[in-house]
Amino acid sequence: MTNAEELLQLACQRDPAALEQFAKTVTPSRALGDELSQLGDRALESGDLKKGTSAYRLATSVFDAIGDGNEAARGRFMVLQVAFMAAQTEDQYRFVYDQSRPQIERSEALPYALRFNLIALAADAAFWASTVGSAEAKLGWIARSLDDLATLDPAQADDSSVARYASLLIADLQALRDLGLDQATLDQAEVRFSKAAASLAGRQIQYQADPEKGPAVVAALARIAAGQFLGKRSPLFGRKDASS
Amino acid sequence: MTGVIRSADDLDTALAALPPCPPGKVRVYRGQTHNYAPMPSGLRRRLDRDAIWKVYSRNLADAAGVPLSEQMDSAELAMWYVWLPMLAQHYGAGSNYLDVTHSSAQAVWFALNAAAFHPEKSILGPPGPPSPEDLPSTVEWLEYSPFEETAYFYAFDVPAWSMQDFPARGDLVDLAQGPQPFRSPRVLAQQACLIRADQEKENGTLNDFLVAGTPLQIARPWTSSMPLPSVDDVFPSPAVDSWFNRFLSVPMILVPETDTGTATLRRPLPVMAIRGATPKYNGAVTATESYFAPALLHKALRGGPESSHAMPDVRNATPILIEAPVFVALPAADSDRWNHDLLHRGIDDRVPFFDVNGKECGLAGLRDTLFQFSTLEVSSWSESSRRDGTPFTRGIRVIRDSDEFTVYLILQESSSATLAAAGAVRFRFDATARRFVWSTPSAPTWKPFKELDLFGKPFFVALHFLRVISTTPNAQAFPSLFTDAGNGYNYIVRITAGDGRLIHVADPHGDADAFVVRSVDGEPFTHATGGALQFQSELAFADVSGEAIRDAIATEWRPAVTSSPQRTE
Repeated sequence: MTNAEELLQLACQRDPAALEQFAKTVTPSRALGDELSQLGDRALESGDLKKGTSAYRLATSVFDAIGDGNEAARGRFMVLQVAFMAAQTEDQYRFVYDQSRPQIERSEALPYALRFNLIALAADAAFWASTVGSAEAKLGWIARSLDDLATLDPAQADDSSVARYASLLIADLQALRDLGLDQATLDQAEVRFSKAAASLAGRQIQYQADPEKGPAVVAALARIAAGQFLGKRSPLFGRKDASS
Repeated sequence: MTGVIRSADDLDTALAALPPCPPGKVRVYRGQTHNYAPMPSGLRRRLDRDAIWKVYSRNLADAAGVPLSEQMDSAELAMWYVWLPMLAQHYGAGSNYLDVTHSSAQAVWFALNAAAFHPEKSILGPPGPPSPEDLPSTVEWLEYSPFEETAYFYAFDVPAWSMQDFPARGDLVDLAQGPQPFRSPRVLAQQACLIRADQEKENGTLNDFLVAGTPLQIARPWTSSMPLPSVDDVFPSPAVDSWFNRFLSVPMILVPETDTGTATLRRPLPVMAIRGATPKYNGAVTATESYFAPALLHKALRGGPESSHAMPDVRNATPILIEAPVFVALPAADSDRWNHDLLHRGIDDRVPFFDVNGKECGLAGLRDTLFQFSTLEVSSWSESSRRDGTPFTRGIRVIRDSDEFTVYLILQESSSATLAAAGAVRFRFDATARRFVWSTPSAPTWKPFKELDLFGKPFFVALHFLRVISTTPNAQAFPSLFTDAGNGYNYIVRITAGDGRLIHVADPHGDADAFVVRSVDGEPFTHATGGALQFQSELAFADVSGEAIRDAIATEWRPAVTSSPQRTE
């Protein structure tokens, strides 16, 4: 079996356990794994999440079989990313968040870009869980999301990862502000990220789907760096003293 | 009736004795404190910042629900020739229309109250004790006070404008019949109308429409069953008049005072700050006095955490404050009306700068410049809900080295005083593609200009101004006018040679002087008005050879008034 499409088709007809076993027995090769990964990427681009999940699962099995831990980890990450994209309920986001934990724990030895994306994914899942979950759970989810982000060094990340990190950080802090917490708590939360935000000064942050978002994010990061995002001071200064 | 009228009843009697209004015409009234020939204010004096007013008020109209039309259709023409001048007539520096009213009582009010401007100085700054961010401001209040001498009451018989086409001289525009959002509380309170005048006829006056027997002379004390209205009634407060509020709410900017050259905060639009009769009214006007901090980008950028402004020391840059809203008037960055070949050349290394009275003072470098864009680029200052979270481009740093430009955008959210610098992006002209290409330090491959949406327009605005203030004769990098010639286009391209002048502005705190760009007449620079080249080409303007245009300037254009077949004035 050399054609990834056919392999995927065959695998999809079996149960998940069988397909992993199947992959291990079909003379696994790096080329096949790469092809499956690319098949997953294409499926994702076309919006076929189910096919994407199957392809990444199979690719993960192949890379596991040939002992390529990094690529296998990327496959697992992509499976979770697809699950994140399909999620709509708090339970579904919770599933992504929970599934990411053991992977994050084992990610110390992975390339930093992959580890970064994995943690950012978990933080993203936690944030979205906060938006669809109960009011009581909201603060907990935002805190988990911020805890994950606080472990990251965005200065080391590539542009697309930074874009995700930055918009997520801003959304988390805005959500925190909207909860009506006291200013001291908000200040504490903001200070925690001021250094990371400052490290992104000068980075090009662009969002293909929303060109207007880039400058907004850059400006918000500068405010976080200066500790002025959650503690506002209006820039419109009015009359303070009529002298005549 | 002869003699001076001092009561509403006598005025009614005098009006009844006037000749009847001819069929097809409407009788309207006007009061003046002096008997000068009724003439629009716009024809009596230069219209201060007329272009800026119109552009900004068009932006406001857009925000108020009248979208800017790409086509100059009849509705858009009416906008520019009737409704925007109406706003200027009622809230700003005047227009080529004469104010009149259906109401004889309103005309009496304007005859018996004299208007005078009174400057008031104050300090604007952050709340609390004195701060380095405190800045001096001046507001020109327009105060009405009882006029105790003989005044004049005019009546006109004029045809009503059909609301079609363009109003002819003498046509009456009844503002109560105008489209929304232009039926403002002020025009309704004054039962206001406008009569179109023409500078070329009757010396700009409208005397030939005057009803025989007028003006009538009237004077205080005035007796009437209805007391004269108060200022607050005639000019409803900004709390209820959204147009008044929109114009007043534009943050003040630093401008050089004509006597000292030192910067003082003033309103960027010539909006009339009416002094009302009550503290509540005046409080509503005063509450709109503000400036948008930081007032001087170059000063703010040189302090604070350097880590958030990853660009070379801003002290090396020449700071230039642009006073006019220019983004809406210039083509979009991806438009094929921009000729990149022209745009990247013709920039002097140094240009002379002048004091506010026009005296040449020295040279300013143009290889490293920091442009601060006008707060008039934003049209939503009066809407507090829209101030939050909306970033705008406050400025751009352009560093020129040989044929390459290094650019930083200065961004600021409208709800925060914090600045952010985005960049660097490098630009250079690609002669093969006839377009700019760009790259960043993290992605050094040169990429097509069209893929860069954020930096494009501010960069082009900066280059446009750098060329305008250069003394080298330059063709503007976009056509002022072009028409389809069947197998190509007719282009008219303005030539500039120092049309914009750098005027020195002294920082009120003495440590961060800057420059503004003014026309030769001292007004904020908006557009070139000098000579032009005219030519035909089958190419889009972006693809026209810059070299050919430069050759045409070198051989055919002269800064003097000598005519040339290829040159239009």
